[in-house]
Amino acid sequence: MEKEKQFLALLEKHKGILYKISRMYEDNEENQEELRQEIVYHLWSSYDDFLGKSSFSTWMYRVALNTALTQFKKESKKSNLEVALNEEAFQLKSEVSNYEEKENQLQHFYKAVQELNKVEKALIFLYLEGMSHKEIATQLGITEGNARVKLNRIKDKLQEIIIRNGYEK
Amino acid sequence: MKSDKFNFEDLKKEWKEQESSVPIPDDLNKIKKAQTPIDKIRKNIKTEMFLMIISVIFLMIVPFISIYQISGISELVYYIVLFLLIISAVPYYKSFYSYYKNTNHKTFNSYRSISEIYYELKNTIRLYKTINYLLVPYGFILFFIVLSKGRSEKIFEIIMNLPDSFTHENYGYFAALMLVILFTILAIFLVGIWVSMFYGKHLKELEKILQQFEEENE
Repeated sequence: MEKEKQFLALLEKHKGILYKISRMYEDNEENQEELRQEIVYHLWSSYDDFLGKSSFSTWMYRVALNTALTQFKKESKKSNLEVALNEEAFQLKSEVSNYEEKENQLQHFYKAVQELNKVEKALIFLYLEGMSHKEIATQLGITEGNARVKLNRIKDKLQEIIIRNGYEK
Repeated sequence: MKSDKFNFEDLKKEWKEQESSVPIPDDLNKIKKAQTPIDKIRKNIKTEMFLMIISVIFLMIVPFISIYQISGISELVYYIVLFLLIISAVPYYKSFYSYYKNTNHKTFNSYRSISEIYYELKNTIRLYKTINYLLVPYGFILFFIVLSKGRSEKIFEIIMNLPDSFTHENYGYFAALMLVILFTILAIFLVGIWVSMFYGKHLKELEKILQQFEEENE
């Protein structure tokens, strides 16, 4: 019981990881919620392996990303419809934009990131979380040099996508 | 409309400051776990294991039920096949059980985690197909003996006395035997297709992710 309380407190403190990963990996609210549940399930079921071995956030990045990477998309018409509606809503928002620049940039980022593959999403996520190339490489199991090269490519790819999508600064 | 580039350093700051309003469950027992491909295959194997135990118990007592008329050489073949079925199934389910207990690779680095899941899924599919190739023929022979209500004894006698028994009056028995063999081959074939279709697509998706990782290492 004490362990569960401790776990939930840590989860509350780091819930931003859940939010950001689910938004990056899933494009509609229903699937995002499902992914968050799946991540929490895996975090809780492997919590005993974690205890005392590293910082909670480092361990949570790893479990959460590994869950997102192996989560397969559902093929449902409802999901596609929701995506279409979300995109429409997004465009409308952009047109009547009174958004602050901050909100605008993040919104564009979340839209653009949907066009990246799963591994690219993992790399850009860890970069935005402030990890060094070495830390990213360790988390993902690739070399530091490759993390650097690939990250530069992803940034270029994201720039191309947002320009294509008409991002306005 | 003027298009401009992202400033990733600005984005990093905004990224940290964004609101993360997600509900955290208050009861961990209520968390629903989604069905990953490995979970699905595990669940199927568990259900099949349960059905197999029930079937084996039933099959063991069938020869004692007089309406099935299993006696003589049929009874001998029946128990030999049942024995083979059990000794084939036990190591398979045992290896599945140890696999079931050991698959929590979410704490490895991502490449290792996905590689292990990929190879375990691949092995499980292979094992799953193999066991079905073995068990389907055994199952068909047993059910053939049970459902033939005594006529199987005659068929076994005919088989043992080949080629002398290949006579006009036995053609009906040969036809029945051919039908059983055909259905067995068809069932094995369908199981193979079903497993490849149902689980193979997940294997391909994992393969795709591994390729994405390997691209990083080029």
